[in-house]
Amino acid sequence: MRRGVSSWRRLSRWWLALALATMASGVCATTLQSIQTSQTAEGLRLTATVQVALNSQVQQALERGVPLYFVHQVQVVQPRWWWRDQVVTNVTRRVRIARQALTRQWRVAVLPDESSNGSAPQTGQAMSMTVPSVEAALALVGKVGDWLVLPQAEWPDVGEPPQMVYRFYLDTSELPGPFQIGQGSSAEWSVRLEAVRPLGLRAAPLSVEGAR
Amino acid sequence: MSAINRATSATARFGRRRWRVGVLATVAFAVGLVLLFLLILATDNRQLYEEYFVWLLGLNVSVAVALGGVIAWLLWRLWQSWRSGRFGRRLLLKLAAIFALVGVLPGALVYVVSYQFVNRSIQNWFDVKVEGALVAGLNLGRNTVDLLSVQLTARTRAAAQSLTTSSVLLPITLERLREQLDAHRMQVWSDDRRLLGSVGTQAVGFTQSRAPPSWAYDAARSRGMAVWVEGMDVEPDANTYQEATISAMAWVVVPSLSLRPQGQYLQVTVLLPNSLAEDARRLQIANQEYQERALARDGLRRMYIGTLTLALFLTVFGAMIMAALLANQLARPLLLLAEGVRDVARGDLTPKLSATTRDEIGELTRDFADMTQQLADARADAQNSLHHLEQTRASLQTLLDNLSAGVVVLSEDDQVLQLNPQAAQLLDWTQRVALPRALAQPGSTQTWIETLLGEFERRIHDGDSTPWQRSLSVHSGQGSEGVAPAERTLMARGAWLPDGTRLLVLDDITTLVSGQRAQAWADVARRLAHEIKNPLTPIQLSAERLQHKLTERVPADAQALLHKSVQTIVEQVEAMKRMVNEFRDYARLPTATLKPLDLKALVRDVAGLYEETKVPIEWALDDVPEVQADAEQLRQVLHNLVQNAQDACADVAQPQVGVSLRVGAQGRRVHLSVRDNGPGFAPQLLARAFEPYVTTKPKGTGLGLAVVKKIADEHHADVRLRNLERDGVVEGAQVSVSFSAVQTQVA
Repeated sequence: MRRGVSSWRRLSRWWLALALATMASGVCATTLQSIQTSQTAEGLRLTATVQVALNSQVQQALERGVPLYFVHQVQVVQPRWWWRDQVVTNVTRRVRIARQALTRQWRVAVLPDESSNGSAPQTGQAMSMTVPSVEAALALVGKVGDWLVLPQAEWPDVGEPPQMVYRFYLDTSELPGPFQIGQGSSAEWSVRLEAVRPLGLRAAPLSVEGAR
Repeated sequence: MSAINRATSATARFGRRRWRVGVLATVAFAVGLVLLFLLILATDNRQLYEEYFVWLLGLNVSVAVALGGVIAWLLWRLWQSWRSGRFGRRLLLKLAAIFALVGVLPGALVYVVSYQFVNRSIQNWFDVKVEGALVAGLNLGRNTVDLLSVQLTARTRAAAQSLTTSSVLLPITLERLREQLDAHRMQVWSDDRRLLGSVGTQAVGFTQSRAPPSWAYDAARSRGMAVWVEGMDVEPDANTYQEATISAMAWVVVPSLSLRPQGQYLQVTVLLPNSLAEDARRLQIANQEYQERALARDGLRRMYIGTLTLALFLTVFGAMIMAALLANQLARPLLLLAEGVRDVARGDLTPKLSATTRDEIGELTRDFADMTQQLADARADAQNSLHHLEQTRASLQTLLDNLSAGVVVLSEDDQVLQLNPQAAQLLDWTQRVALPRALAQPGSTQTWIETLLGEFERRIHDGDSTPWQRSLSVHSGQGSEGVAPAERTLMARGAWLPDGTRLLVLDDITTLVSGQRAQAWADVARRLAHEIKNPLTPIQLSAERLQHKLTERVPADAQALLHKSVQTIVEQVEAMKRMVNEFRDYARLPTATLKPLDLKALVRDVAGLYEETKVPIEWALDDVPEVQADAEQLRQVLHNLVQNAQDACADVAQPQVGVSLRVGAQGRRVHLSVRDNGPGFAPQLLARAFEPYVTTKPKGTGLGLAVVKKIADEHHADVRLRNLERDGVVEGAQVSVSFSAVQTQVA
């Protein structure tokens, strides 16, 4: 009887802890501050600002010098009622953030773009910056500006109006392997954000502005 | 039957083998997976390991689940067989438990040890000392850099004070200051962050001068100084690094005409020693890796333990399945054997299955199967011979039962062990009697039995064990009402059987003796007739001559006497002559000449002679087929029988004689019967009625029926004599002669 009660109590404590953790993760949610697309003569360009919020565990890892990789991903898809949506393009930009233990500075490196259609990276230079604080570093991480995601030539000119899907997430697959097995995929390490924006056809340049 | 059994068992065995191969393949696959795991661990190919770990894990888990399912199924089957109380379940369970224990215990031990080992090892990797050393190293580097920064800051501040505002003199001033400070490069930026002047050494790899980060300007402006380090950052994917530098920036107010205070930024960049930069980078990389691993510590531990646990499960499951299979393999021939033994004990000798294995147990089962086969053969042989024996005995019994002689088997104490119906009849054992039974029943009148037993006794006493035989007369039946009991003649033979019992064979030779008597009579009659007949004629002639000569010479009174005496002599001689003739006739009956004869015509012919007689005769004559017969002799037979019948009923108030001629039921025999309503035959006479000189009549010669018998024998006909009885009272007698009819050729 005693054992039953204590185990029940332990169980309820677990539940409480779980609920608190969920709330905590809810409090420091990563949010999309602004997203803006513009159709220029070169193609579709994206400017977006994400306010990155990390929970204490991720932040701790970061402080200890574990590099983290964040990914901006843009997919332009054309809906097809008779089959799965066609992915017109899939462009990713990975940003690495790492604390320099010696200099106590933060280094943000933007890695070359990777595109699904195998075309050369449009804004392909790797770029790295050193900033003195984590806030500045995270602000750099959460920002993409004037990113050419879809060249004009690849714009679909028939069918349904395409949609743009923008995602921002922490790439846990870059974390050390054993850690992934342990808890890399758990909710605490999930930093994720997704936004869908409709696009017009090529003929009519369109600018959509949205904020969350 | 047994072939079908064998065939089905063969298919069952084949199915079992296929199943076993499948299970073995699964186990082998699981073990292979574990080995793959260990191999990857051993080669320390971390990348491969981490990449495929999840896949391997999933595969292993599914295999483990499959094996677990198999084990659950096996356990369920074991439980089923335990509950059903199947034979051999204890042995199977025991063997399976032993093997499982042997497999599981070492596995569990290794697991516990390995678990501790892995746990400790991983804990040891992340030692507090190592971490402390890393932090200390970092602090050391940091302090060094800080020291350099402080020095540079001081020097920069000093230099900034001596900076002129003149744009013409600026390069010279800068160069002088650079040499003074031993700086790598000196740059002056305007308030609006334009490069006003720059001097520096062109070192290798230092290709371009880079603008300071924007925050540096702000910091210099607000706090007067800004210091930053470049080229010491760690890039995971970079191979070459820029030269490490420390830059300090100072903001100095320059005299100006405008209201707002005008300023200039002086940036001094100093090269850090290469070795320092290199060491610092290495330290940082190490720290980074350490932190990464520390982050992954739990995961790592979980991974190793998980692998270990999985390996344990796989091996344990494998061991259990192998245990079950091995137990089955070992127990099966034993169970087969035990089952066979039980069957044999129950008497079931059908062919037994034998194990196909080549070991001793398999050999044992094969030997057992052979033994059972031999037993079955032996039993079949025994049954065959028993059956044969039964048949022989039955035929022997039939033979005995149908022997005309009576056979008795006696024990040593004169008990009847066995006897046939004839013997029972001779012994007057009319009812069924329980054997063994004493041959000489107390109070029996059959004294002849005592005689026979006495004969045996005498022989035993004399030590004579040869078979013996003797004849004796027996008075059978009760000699009541003054009638002498029927006398029979028995021939008794005695012999000793091998097992000490005695054999007594009794032959009723009454008829044989009777025949012999008849033959003897015939001889006597012929001789007597011959001897007596010769003097008769002279006696008759002499008597008649005496009468003829003396009639006139004797006185009248003597004449009558003479006449009467002669008359008597002549009559008696005549009677004697007739008697002698009859005897002669009997002895000298001519051989019958057999011809087809219509018996009815003959009988009707004879009937004519008896129309005027005292005793009325009733003739009942059917139409009968012809018989082979001698007409004259048959006429004699008929006369004899009819006269006999008439004589028999001469004293009866209403004499009645009947003659009948009938055809037998199958048309093969013709029966001629003569019956009368006289007093019948006395019992003792019935057996001997056909012997000569056996008569009940005062004047008879006793040859009538003897002649009939003789003639009938000549004709191969049967003569039967019986009394006609009604309710046990004799009402007459009947003699019937049956001839075989001539078989007419049917076209």
